[in-house]
Amino acid sequence: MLATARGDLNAFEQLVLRHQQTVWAVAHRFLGDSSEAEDVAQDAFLKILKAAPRYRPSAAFRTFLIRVVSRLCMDRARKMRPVYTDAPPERPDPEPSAPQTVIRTERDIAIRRALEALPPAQRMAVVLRYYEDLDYRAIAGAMDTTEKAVERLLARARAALKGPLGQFRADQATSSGGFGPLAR
Amino acid sequence: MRMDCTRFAEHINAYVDHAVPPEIRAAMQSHATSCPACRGEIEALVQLESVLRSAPEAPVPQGFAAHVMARAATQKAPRKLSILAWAGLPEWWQELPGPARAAAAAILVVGLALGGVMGWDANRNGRSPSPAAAPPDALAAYNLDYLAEAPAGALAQVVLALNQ
Repeated sequence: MLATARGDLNAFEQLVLRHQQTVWAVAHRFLGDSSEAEDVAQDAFLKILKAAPRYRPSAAFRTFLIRVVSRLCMDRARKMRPVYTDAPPERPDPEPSAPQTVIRTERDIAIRRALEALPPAQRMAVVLRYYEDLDYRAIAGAMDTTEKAVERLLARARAALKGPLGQFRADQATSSGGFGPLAR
Repeated sequence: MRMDCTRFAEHINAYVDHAVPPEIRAAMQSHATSCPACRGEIEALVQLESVLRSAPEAPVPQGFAAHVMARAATQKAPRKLSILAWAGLPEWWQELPGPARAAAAAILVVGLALGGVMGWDANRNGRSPSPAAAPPDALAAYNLDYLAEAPAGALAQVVLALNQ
């Protein structure tokens, strides 16, 4: 990042290659549309390039990166209408049997729809918590809010997601260890 | 620490996110072992997390980095912060191209220098402001005496004569 601040575009390219998965994943999980997500992800890197001379390494770079892309996502969400897609996952399904493949596709669609039905702030909290494994403090920093507010956002999001994803929770119950995984 | 179902529900989200203090965590675990309802709530959230995490991650689009670099090449290269920027000059000034900033600074310097020279020159000669600027003494310049009789041939005399 410091080399990028000095105008070293090779260093910037290395930065893009190293962090593109994270930036893309946040944008795509949140927006649900590939072209919108690609647009926002590109904008995030260009914003970082422009801000490079003023960057001070006071926090982990990944946290800074996620903050930039999440704010761009929230801005884009305000301009977008919800997008529902019936397209199957882009990655080939590794499940061997046809019925399980169909269920997984239905589940993925249900997850996508359920996330897109959430208000943007709740959706971003879910994306950052479940898919980027950020703690309350990091999520609060990315979303420019408090840790208590993050807890409330996740509580409301979970309450909203229980209904649409309830049938798939039963499938998970047969394989999960119930209360056990929490005792860590 | 005493834990009941109400308090359990208040902390359940922070609990699944590993954001409760150790003493509260221990109290909640102890309560859950003897309360099927609260234990069920925890299990529901754990299962929900499993479902959400099962959603596959889409791969980065082909050529993403190349597209970013192509756009970056057309964007202005980031400039190192100068001492002027550290001095707190506004961003609009920092964003001006170098030649524009140099030109603006040169005009300012020339203007200040010119003003200084003119002021010094005026003070050196001791000249007062131009007489043209001072209002004329009308009485002296035009021989006006409003208490005296009107001069012969003056319009006012004609008017008076006409009215007599």
